[in-house]
Amino acid sequence: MKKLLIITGPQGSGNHLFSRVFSTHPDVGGWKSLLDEYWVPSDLEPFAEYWVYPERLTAEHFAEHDYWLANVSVPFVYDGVRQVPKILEVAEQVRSFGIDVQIAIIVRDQNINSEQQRRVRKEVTLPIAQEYYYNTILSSDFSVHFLDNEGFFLHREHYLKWASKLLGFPIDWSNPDIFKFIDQDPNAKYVKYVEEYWLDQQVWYGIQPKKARGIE
Amino acid sequence: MLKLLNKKILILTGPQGAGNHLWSKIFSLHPEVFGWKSLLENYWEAHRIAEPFAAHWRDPSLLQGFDWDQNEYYFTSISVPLGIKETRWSPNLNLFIDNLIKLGIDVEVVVCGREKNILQHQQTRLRQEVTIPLLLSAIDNLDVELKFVSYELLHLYQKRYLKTLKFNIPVAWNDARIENFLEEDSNVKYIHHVDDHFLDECNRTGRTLKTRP
Repeated sequence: MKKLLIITGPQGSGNHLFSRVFSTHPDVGGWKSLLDEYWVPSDLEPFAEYWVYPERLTAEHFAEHDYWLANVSVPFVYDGVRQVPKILEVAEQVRSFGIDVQIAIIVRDQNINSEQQRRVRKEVTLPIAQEYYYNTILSSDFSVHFLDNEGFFLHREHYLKWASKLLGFPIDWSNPDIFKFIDQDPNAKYVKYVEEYWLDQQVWYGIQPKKARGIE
Repeated sequence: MLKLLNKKILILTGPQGAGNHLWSKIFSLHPEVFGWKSLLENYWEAHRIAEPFAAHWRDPSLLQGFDWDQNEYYFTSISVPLGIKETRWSPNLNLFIDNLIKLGIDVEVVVCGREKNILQHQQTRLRQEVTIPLLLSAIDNLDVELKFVSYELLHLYQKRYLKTLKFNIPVAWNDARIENFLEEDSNVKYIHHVDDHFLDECNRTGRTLKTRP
């Protein structure tokens, strides 16, 4: 059975990164132009038109591969207009072709994501995504999983191996090219050192030997 | 030896400061799970004093003498490493798991993660060194399949995220106490504003960028 994986996340949450990772596998029809170019606007993503006009999507689109990746942020900009993509309608349309559909919601630290949106988009659009996911995607009968940027950057191939199994979708996790995508961590510039925190003393005390704490 | 075929244990591990205590609270919530229940009453406790399997992590052969009649589902957590510079030690995850498997217990290993830059700062401040590589090396050497949970996902999607988790023990995703546990996002204090970035203009204009500047 053919399979479509729809990856979606709030704007700036790592949509391009995860699209690149999934599109690297040779068996996956995906956003291949992202493998050659560093950044491509979302309305040039292979399924972009269908997020606005799902009825235009036909079974022929899926002829070439058994596995397909589609990606869209919520909201997304199509031809200069910001809108909420019709993910559910696309998923239902694709399911009507006899293709298995899986949805994965990606996340990036909400504080960083909000900062990024405020700077680039001049407003925080995270709540728009949350509302759509809560009221439409998570309440649908489609299988929905969550993926996180931070887990990928921290646990690397272990994380991808697990994600591949969780989603039942091929990921070229042993391909060193994938890790070139994360050789620079976009979160790093948002994170600063903190001198102290109220819990620190408690932790230091708790990890002293019992004798040092006067406990028999 | 009698095999404990109907017993299941979830082992949570992760780098120091990745939310081990937070996840321990959540996985201990379910009434059918034998877990770190005292942590539900106290905000923070030292692992080696209060975690129910603390002694067994030091000496996994003790698992044989543990009273496994208490429940069907068990939960334990351990960060890698534990302690601070002079007192630091790393648990032998494989030995602990092997002992459980020999007893016939179904074992699942879940690794928790948190934003890497924040983790590095937190460990430097609190532990005087970055210990992430020790955890990464430990999971490299594990013979079991790993699953992952995320601090950032937990804080953003909360019970909606917890509901999607499928492990070998039940998760009380709808427990009202979870809201209290998640009242404060510890990542906030580490985040600062960034004025601009080379990709901003592409995002605003929709211009394709061939290579990274």
